[in-house]
Amino acid sequence: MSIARRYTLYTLLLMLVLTAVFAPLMSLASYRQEYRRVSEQIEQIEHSHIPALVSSLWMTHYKLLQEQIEGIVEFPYIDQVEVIDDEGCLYSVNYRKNPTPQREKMKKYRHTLTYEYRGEEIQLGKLILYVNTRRLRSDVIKGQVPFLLYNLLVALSLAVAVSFLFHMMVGRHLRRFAEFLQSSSDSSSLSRHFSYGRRKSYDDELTQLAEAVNSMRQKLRGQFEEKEMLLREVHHRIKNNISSVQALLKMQADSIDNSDALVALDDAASRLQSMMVLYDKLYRQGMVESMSVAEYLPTLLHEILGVFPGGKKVQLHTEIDNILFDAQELSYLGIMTNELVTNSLKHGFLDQTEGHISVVLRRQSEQKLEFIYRDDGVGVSDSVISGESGGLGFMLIRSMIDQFEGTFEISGKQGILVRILFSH
Amino acid sequence: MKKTVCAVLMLLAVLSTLYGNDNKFYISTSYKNLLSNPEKSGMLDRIMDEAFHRIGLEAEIVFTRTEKSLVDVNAGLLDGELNRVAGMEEEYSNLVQVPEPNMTMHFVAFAKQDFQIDGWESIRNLYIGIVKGWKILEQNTTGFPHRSLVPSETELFTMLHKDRLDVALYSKLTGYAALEEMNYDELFHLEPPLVSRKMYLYVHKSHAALVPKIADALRSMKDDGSYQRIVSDSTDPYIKP
Repeated sequence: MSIARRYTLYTLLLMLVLTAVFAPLMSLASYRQEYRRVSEQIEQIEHSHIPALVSSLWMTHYKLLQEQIEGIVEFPYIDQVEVIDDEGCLYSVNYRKNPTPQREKMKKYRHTLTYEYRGEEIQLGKLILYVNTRRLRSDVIKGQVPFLLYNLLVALSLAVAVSFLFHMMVGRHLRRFAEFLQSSSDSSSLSRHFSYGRRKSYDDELTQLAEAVNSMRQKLRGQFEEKEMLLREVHHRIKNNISSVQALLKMQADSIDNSDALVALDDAASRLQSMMVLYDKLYRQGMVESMSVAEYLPTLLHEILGVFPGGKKVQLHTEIDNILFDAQELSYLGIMTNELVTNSLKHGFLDQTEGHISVVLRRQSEQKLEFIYRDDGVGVSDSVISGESGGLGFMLIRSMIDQFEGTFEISGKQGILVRILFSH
Repeated sequence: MKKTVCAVLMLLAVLSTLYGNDNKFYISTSYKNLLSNPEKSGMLDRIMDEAFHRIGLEAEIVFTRTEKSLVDVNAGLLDGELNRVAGMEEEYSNLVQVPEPNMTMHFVAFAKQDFQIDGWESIRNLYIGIVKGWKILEQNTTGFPHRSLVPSETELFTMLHKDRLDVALYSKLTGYAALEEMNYDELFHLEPPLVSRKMYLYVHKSHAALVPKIADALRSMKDDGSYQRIVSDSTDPYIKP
């Protein structure tokens, strides 16, 4: 989830939490305020209406009394007013919107109505006001609904505004920056300089970040070039050393008569050949840590066939995809290929005037690569296929396959067919 | 101002359409008692009916609220005012008094107990009640310390019944009619009357020519005994001896 969306979500949540906290507090405050207002009304009734009620009662002006009661019931939240006179007659008016009030659920205010006559307090009756506190509460809560809706609207607007502003001012630039870094992660792109492309330049955190990263990339580029140069030098020296060892092995082979020792020294020299080709390639190409297998394997195959007696009679077919491998993996692949070709040349084409070798390396799926080696020689015995025999060459092949964590199939009936599936 | 004049003129036009095209004489009253009532069985209803009949007109008595009654007649909206004391023409210049009185109204003090009274000063310190708007009573009791002004005779006699007044000042005839209706048998009037006033019919000045005829008709009724018959029929059942 993008930062802008998280901003939106968090802002919304924050506003909702604030609303959830403050809405009840405001409701409580409103309720208290309204209740105070109702109490003030009661006082007002006591001061202004009750003398008039008393006068009407005293004069037995019941029509006026009824009108006065109707006036009192117009006060907010007074749902019923009752006056009971000295003869027990009831004069009552209900709030028009609540014609059947549930009196037991309402708060009652009682007031005795007296008149001073000839120095005596004459009791004329009593006034009972029924205040609907439930409706008061309900109205207060209803009154909070617009506040809540307003807050939600503000929260939503604020969240969207924050999200939009963040996206416009920060998010989209960071995304571009990330895309640039992803697309410019290889050593050759380190020289590229990043710019946000903003219409106006600001000396803000984004600019400082870009400048810092650009500066870091410049330094990395320098270090990388230095490392490449060193590695190229190392590869050159390794290749030279391998070449020296190979020359020594060949000189040693020339000086001995024992055929087994001669074969062993030739095999060792041949194996060094594959590594020498690899390091030569790594030295010569721009990249020092990895290389396309399409660059390496055909060259290696031609080198082996070129130096091996009878190799030139072999027709080579290659179908190799352009896939990058690091030096270590290429080394395993080179040794394995060298063993297979050497085996074909030494054992497969003994009685043939010419032979065919096919090497295929292709991507089978997103994760899997398929390596197929085939010749049209005499094939191999079942003991070799089962792994019981096969000498050092097949041991090396199996060992290399293990390095790739791949699966291995070999068939030796009509020439040799080796199929390896491994992850890459 | 223009709007008011227009409204009055329109009202006059409407009323003249309603009341003006026949031989009816529209008399305003604010009574609803044994003197005059919607059933036309009141004492004055019957007297007016007979008097106007004698001059070849038909009396139509129309109820109008007290405070509006004189104003409407003075404005010519109605033809006459049923029963007022003398001197109303001083305030209402368009009114003409019929010189022969309709009746004599005795204003008395009603009480629950027997007081000895003799004029206004004798009741000054009593708790008295009068109906608001009765000018003769209001004027004579101005400054009395325990005076209560009530809206109607109902409240007046109820207060007296509940011992909230010592005396209730009211017209003797209509007072007894009200007591009869309210079943307040324990209340009675005190003698002598506080004041007696002859009551007159007033007509709008446009009908001034009728005044002598109406006066003659009333006098002839009194002379031939028909007046007294109507009075007795109308009031005897109510008045306590």
